[in-house]
Amino acid sequence: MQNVWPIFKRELRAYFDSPIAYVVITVFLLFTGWFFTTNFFVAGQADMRVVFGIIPFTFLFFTPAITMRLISEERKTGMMELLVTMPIHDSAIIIGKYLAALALLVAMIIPTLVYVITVASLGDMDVGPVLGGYLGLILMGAAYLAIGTFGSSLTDSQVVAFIVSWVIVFAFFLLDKTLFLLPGWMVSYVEYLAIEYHFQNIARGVIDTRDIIYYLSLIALALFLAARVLAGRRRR
Amino acid sequence: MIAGHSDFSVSTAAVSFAAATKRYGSVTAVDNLDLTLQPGELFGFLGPNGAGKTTAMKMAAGLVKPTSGTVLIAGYDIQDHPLEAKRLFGFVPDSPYIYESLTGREYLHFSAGLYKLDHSYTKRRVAELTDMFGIGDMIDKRAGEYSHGMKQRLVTASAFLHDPKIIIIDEPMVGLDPNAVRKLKVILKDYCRNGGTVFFSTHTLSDAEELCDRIGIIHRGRLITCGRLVEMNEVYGSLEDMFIAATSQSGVL
Repeated sequence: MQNVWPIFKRELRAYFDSPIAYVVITVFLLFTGWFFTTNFFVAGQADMRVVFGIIPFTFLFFTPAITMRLISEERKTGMMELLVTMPIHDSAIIIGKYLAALALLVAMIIPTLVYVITVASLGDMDVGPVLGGYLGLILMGAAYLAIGTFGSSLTDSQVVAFIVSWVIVFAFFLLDKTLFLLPGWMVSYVEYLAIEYHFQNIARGVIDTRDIIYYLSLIALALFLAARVLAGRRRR
Repeated sequence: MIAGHSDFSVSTAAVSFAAATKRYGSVTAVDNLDLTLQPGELFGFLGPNGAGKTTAMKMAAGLVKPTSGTVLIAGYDIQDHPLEAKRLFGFVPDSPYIYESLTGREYLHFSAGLYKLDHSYTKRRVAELTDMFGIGDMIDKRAGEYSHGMKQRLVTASAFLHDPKIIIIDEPMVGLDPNAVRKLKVILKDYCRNGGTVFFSTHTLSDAEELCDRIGIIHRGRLITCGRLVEMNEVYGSLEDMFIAATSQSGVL
């Protein structure tokens, strides 16, 4: 796994060498900033509920945008072909690239701490839900990025990778919104699969290992599948 | 100067195909290939377009899994022990894939990281290869500014970075100017003299004639002739005559 590092470094640099990182971060901050400023003073409450309400929705679009090129671009340019002739596990390629995407996501979220400082300076803020909210955002974003990495491994086309990833993350996002349609015995199972259900738990400031295990399992499964797809294409 | 390979066991073949076959649906790209390359050998793989050269080379590099049969790299099955096998060769694809946002030096250091080469060795080796491949003027410029030939030189230099025992190189002369072609030929010959093995494919018969100890001609996926160039020339007169005779017949020579 030592050679995850060069892949991670190269990938992170690729984000910041191109307009991708700057565009993603700027648009994300404009969007969340607009929601924060227009709702915070109306609500008149010293909490981050508005921000934590809108960011999961923005992730539906931003995370597939971050991951769409991860594998598909290198497959298209042929660079992946050269990489897999080097002594490196498919899983190291996937993990290195995934961690770079995760680093970009964290870089995207960090400036929103300005909202926290603003809220804290204007009222008596409960720190627990804020810390839980950020942990939940990172876990949720990490799960979406893992799904996006899998989506990117499926195709040479970045557009197709974006659409496939979006459809999968949207399905996970929708799950807990469809519970009223389901028979009673299914509700608890589907609820457990819903990505936002676990986020809401963590964002309350209650860290339950079941929620952490859910996210880590989803991340591991998606990255495992991405590595299998990469290896499988070589076996054709 | 390319480092020597005196540690390479003479009893172990550098590359060994055993009944290697690759099928894509009903099409057989490589059919029952048996071929052994010895250490220190410069082997040229010839054949018309679509003959199966690239597929065979990709099987050797672990990019394509044989439908049946095996490919060994210095005794390691490339499918069963890919990491051990991949440490032993450098691969140069037919198109010079490269990260265009990196400089040549950064690209070489990135490759060195994947081979887990230590920093001081990498620094020294990059300086040697930069000089050897004549890329000193461009080494600190972004690869996006490179010409096709310069990219080809950089990717080839990268294949030598970890001092491999085997170089697998697909169409090495394409896109290079005559000076670079001359330089590469000298490098490859020098490398083999020091115990390295070169497995290369080409369409250019004169390159094969000038470089190779042994050649193999593949046609419709089958190795139809293979042997020492000198001996084959004695039978057929010239490589060109032999190539035309071999590829115009469907049977084995």
